[in-house]
Amino acid sequence: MEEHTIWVTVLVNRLLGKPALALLTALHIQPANPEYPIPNHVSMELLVFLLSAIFFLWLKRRISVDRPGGTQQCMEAILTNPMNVGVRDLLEDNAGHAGARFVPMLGSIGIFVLFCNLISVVPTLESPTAVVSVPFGCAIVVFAYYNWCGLMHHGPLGYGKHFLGPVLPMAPIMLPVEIISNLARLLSLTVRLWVNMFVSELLYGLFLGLTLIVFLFAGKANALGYGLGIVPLFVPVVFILLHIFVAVLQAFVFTILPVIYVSGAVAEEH
Amino acid sequence: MRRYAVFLVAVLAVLVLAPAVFAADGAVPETNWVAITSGFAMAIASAAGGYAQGKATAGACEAFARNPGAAASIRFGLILGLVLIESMALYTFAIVFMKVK
Repeated sequence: MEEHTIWVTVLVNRLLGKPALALLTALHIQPANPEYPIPNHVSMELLVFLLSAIFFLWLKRRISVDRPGGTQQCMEAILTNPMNVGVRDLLEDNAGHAGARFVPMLGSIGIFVLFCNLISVVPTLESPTAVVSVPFGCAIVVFAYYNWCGLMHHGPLGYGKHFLGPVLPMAPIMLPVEIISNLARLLSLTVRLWVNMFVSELLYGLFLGLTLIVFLFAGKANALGYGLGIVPLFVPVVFILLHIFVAVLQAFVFTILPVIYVSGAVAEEH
Repeated sequence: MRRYAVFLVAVLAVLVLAPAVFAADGAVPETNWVAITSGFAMAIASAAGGYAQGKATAGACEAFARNPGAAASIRFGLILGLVLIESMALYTFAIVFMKVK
């Protein structure tokens, strides 16, 4: 499928296209579209990063203990909230009181995935997480982070003992099973996020196309057809709502699974 | 009942052998087995996923009926379980999407 370059990609390539092309040529990598070497998903990621950075820097100046505004309270709900689904709550439930030191990394990943998923609701933009390399990148970061946490906490030998299972005689069976299941975590994180985002965009586009055909067909009949033909065009709105729901849910799952992995890596066995 | 089964098998046999008619002009279209298999695979994955999600929802509703005070934890566990089961069916969709031309 050929990729339609959106206006963000055009702008980013105007700014950073030449250095990017020079870097890719130096590494002997052929870009998919030499006119626009930075692809859609990379420029959308940069846009999400820029918007989040501006938003959070603006919010940081307005943080106040005595008079929190509405925005501060909304953002604090991501951290800790009455339903116990904030990042800090999840870490405390799973990793104990010392779990709060993982909040910066896991919270950042969660917020990045959330904004990447939701940005496709804006009309001319598309979701970077619908391209397989972006969720793969996020999953690699999570994989490296939880293994790093385990290594730092237990030391290499201590962390290796985790892979040998509960009892030493079972180690020859447990070791390959544990290694494969850890690699499978990488795969499942990637595919779950990518396919959910891709499919919900696909469903919306599909139903929009179908109802558009109905509208055009009804419009050819007579003027009343144009009037009544608008009604089927409201059907894809349900799919936009589904897309928003799936986006938030998948960002939540992409936060809680790394919480569980990190807690498992730094767990002390009794 | 048996007559309908025999009739159905006869119809399917005709449909599968139908492309042989093209042998007259020498061009036999290759059956796209990948597409047929992917259709069945996706149907089976969606059916199994739907059954599992039904069981999860039923368990959650019964747990809520027994213990309405634990509604928050039950709801949290239900949503998490449903999302993970959904992703299993979507892995099949990923393969379908990558392999079907």
